[in-house]
Amino acid sequence: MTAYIIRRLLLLPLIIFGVTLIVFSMMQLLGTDKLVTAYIPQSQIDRMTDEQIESVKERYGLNDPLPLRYINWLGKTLSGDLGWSIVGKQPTLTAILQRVPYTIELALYAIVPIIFVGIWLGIKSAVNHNSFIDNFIRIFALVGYSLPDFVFGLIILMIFYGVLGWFPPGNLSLWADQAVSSDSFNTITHLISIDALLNGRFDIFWDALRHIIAPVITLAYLWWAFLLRITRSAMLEVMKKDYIRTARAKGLSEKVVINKHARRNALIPVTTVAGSMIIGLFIGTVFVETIFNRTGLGRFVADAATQLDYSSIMGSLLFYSMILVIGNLIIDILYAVIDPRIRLE
Amino acid sequence: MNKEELKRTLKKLFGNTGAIIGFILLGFFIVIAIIAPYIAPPDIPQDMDLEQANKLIEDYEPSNKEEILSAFESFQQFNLGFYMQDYPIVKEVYESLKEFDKGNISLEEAKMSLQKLTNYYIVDISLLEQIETDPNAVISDVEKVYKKYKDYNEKGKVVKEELEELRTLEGDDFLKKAKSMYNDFHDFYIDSIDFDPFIMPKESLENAPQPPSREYPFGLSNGRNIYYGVVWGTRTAFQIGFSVVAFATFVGLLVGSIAAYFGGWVDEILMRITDIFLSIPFILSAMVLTTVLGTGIDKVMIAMMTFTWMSTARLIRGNILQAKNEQYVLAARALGVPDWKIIIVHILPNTIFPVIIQATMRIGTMVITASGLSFLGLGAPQGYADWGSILSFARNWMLGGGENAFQYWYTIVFPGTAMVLFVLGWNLVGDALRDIFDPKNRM
Repeated sequence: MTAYIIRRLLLLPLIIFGVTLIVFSMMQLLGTDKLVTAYIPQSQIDRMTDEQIESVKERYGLNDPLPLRYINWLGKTLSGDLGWSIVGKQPTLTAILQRVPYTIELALYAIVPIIFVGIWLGIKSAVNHNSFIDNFIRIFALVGYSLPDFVFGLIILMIFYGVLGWFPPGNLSLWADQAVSSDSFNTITHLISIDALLNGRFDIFWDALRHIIAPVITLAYLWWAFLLRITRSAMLEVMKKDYIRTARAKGLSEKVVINKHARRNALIPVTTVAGSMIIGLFIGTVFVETIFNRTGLGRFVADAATQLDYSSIMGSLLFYSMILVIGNLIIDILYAVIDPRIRLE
Repeated sequence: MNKEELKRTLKKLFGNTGAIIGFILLGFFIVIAIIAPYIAPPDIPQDMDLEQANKLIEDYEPSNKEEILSAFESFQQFNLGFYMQDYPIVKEVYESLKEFDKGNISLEEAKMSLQKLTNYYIVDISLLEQIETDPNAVISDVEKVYKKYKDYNEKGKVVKEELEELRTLEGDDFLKKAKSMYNDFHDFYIDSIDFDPFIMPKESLENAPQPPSREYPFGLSNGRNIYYGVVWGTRTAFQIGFSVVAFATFVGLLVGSIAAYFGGWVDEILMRITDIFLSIPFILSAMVLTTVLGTGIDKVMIAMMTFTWMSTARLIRGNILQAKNEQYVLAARALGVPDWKIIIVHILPNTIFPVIIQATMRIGTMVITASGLSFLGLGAPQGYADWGSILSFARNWMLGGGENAFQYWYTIVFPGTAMVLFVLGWNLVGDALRDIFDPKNRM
């Protein structure tokens, strides 16, 4: 097991090196003329003469040979200098870090219903195998599987905001936003709803909740489809096992058999996907945040991409990749600790 | 797979309700994609002279002959005649620029010559400045212009001869010749104006959505005809789905087989490269690469192809490694069959099904991703017939519509339904295939 962990840790720098190489190559596809816009705003470039642009290129080393530029870029990136973000009007790293809590908050609120309802539906479906309930849940899952989040998000927005007016888009209402940014409001965790509770402002907490429900529903449906499928097939597998038959033969009630014997075993494969689900949830907020007009990393990338803000998109891409790489590493090591069978693979 | 097994498989496939629904859905979309030009005819711009001639040909009377001829002549004059007129100048300038390239004449003389073209607005005036700094680019620009003029000049001469010939014909012969000339001219006209049927026609200058009506069955969104976009969007979806998945599967197969076949260092390097590509979240890598490459549906496809081959590579490598220890492979090896032949003839046919199933299920995902990118405004050009583009119009009306948002339901429902059914079809077929070829279910 130690050997496995050491091998994984040794590979980590290699993977990170490879990722930076890919990101750097993508930047080079732009060509030096466009790369200048990563340093100087387009409006300024339009007013510059060719000689001035050339001197800018010279100053930022855009005319150096490629390997040298890569090393310089890598050095700057490792020291946290990701360039200037046009969308955020601040350094890219600051812009990214400032938006992370919003995305974390969304993912946190989404994970609870996803796990509980998803597993519940999966077990319900497996226990009533081939019945009406099972078929209904399976169709529910199939539709969720085929429904893109931007379509479902738009429908939710239309119904819950347009028709019913319950869940408005955005992060907070105007008055709550002003209250949060005022001096009397202490920012502790950067998660608005929790900060509101800590400050004793239940009205703000309620307002934040109202804004987060619609995106959470959108995210949840798509992940339910995923999770309930895994739970269902794991549960069906377990129900065929000999020890379930033994438990039934002993005369245990169906409830005890399912809750005590079957469910616990069926949840093992579910735990193996839980980790990657959390990462996926954090990464997959681009569309939800864009549709519901929420501040967050996902919308930051989308805005940066549409406004051709190259330093922001490259910085975010690196950031997301690091989350994925390090998150996967932690998950794999944790599972290796929990389940010795994995180490052999 | 022998005959008996194939029969059993097909029986299972068509006994599966999901698979049948899936096939029906896909069949429906294939039919829509094929008949798109008929059920949503593109609004091709018309040339007035040509249409006039066509109308006269259709209700032909001997007395119309002169009118038809004059309509053709005026078409020839407008579309080719001007090129024929200017051709000598273009030719002269091009030749003098070539002399300049060889160093036979001075920059001043070349500029004087080039000025003739700018005076006639044949080339842009900026070329006069550009020739000082980058003469090669200017020469290649002028060469392109020259070639076009040369082609049109020749075409114009041919057309003139044909017209003369037409003038001598009478009755049925005349009609036949006139019809075929009309078709030729029509094709030439469409070619020359660079028309793209995938761009949704702008029916109204008003951006606010307009509800479905007899004329626009699915309504208008940002002035674009939704019905047209949904119908032509099926073509876009198939194009994206098939080309991206086919490419990704091919590269994946290649990388995976090479890694498994050579093993050792090659395997290690290829699999680490695969790991690195897998470390970048797919939706974001596709987004960023599309942004970098610029606008165009082909750019979206390239971006997605670059980041989708990895899972196939892993899958096929794992399968080959597993199959390496199977009895039939050991037997083949004992018989002295070369390794590459073992892989292609023995291992791949037995391990290809998971790859096919994976490919089927991924077509839907690829279409969703591409539509998602155009939903964000990346990739597909303005007004491109793509389901995601139509949805992106809807977003503003949902956010800005407030209480009235529901009245714009048609901007979401029609393209959304098309997308969901398309993806559902592929998922159902993929699910059914997986159930059938799952080794646990196999007899």
